[in-house]
Amino acid sequence: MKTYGTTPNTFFITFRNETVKMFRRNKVYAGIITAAAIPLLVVLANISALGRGNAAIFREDLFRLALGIFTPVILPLFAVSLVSDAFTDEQSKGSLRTSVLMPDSRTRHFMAKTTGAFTGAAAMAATLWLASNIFGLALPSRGDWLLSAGSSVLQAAGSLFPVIMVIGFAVLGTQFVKSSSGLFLSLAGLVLVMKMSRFFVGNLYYFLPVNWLGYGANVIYAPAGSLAMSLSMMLLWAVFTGGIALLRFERRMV
Amino acid sequence: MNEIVRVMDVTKIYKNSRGIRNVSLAMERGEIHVLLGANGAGKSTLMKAMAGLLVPDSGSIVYCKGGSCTEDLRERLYAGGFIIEQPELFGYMTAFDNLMLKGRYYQDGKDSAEEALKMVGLAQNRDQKVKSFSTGMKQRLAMAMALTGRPEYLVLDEPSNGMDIEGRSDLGRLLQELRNDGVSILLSTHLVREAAEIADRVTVIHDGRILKSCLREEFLNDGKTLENWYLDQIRTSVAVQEAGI
Repeated sequence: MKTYGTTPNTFFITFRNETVKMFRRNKVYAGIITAAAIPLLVVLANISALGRGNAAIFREDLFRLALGIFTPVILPLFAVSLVSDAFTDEQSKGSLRTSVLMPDSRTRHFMAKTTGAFTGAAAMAATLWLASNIFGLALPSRGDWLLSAGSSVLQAAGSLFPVIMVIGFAVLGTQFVKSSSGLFLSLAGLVLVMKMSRFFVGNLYYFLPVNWLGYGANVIYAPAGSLAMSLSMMLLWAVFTGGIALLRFERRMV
Repeated sequence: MNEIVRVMDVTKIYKNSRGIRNVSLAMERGEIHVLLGANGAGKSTLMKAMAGLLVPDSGSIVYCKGGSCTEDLRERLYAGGFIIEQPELFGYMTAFDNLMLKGRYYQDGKDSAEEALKMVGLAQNRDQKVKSFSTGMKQRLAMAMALTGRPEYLVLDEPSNGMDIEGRSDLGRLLQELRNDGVSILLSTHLVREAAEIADRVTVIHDGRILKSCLREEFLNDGKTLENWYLDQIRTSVAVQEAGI
């Protein structure tokens, strides 16, 4: 006779399944390669144009520069793509049914899919950080490299907050939009509306999610009050969007 | 008590007012229970509700073990194996990796996945990507997925879809072997003749309601084929409806 209680915590099994599927789809590798390529290209461009000793940037600034390129557009695009694969793509192909027939609760399936996508995005941010610190060795240093490496860890962590927000919104989108392209279009539409909305809401623009993208690059320069306000707004947004998405996913016929 | 899964008074109505109404049904241990009905009669809706793929409007479904019953979906999924409509597996993964998605939940998951591949005749395709499989092979693999974890019961919605004659024959033999090993099977199929050979109990569902449920001996005693017995049930129901009784 089977005893369910003898199995380990099923969330970790479901999470592992989702991670395995994510890595087999290969998109996450494309994101990791892109993340590694950005600092490499910046370094190569500098050295080939100005020579190794005369590079325009120091190694301590490389990660911040790479983060500024990577997080506003590329990282959210990959994050949305991973979420879309886990929900919308499976739904349209019919394999979502196979996923939710695994012996775990709907809530845990939802959490595992969302956490899996976040892990993929975090792996990309980690690669960007690692590649910046490795390729940065080819650039001249100001001498406080170790301190800068520490700050860059904070910047990398800061860059994940907007990703949580993007994933939260994308997960919500997957519960209402039936195709991956539709999801991307609706996200692009939302960004456009948010960009335009500053004409109507004035200073509130700084509280709009679109303004948070690329947040990590400046996180260590932000005043504490503004940092706390932005982070709490991002988490609130993520909980709000993720919560609505979960409620719908739980009741959804697959 | 010999029941393993009990469906009690389950109702699920879709927006187009189709669905199932007040359906009750029990799966007994070591029994092949065949569900017969026309397209749209409610067979798949009932099976989806049993697999937790949809939430019923009312009623409940319980899994029973050792004299106690639970409504916990995870327990029900853990003890069961399911093929619901046309199952889609993950084409970018190998056959074995697909099975291990379920196998990881069980202590003997790896062994049971290997065993399931052998049972459906796909052992030699273990490391092949599923996207290269034919429809029949995918259906066999879906059966292997259902068998991974050595389930106590199976809910199979037209499991022979897309299978060739040999595949159907193998499936029939496999279901009988499983029944002999004590596995309960709820089977929905349009292949009435093949179902008649293996059914221990037959339930007819029509317009979202259970019309009749009987043991194999009952329709055999009438001297009718299962096909004719089924058609009689439907005609009687339609006549009663038209007469407004």
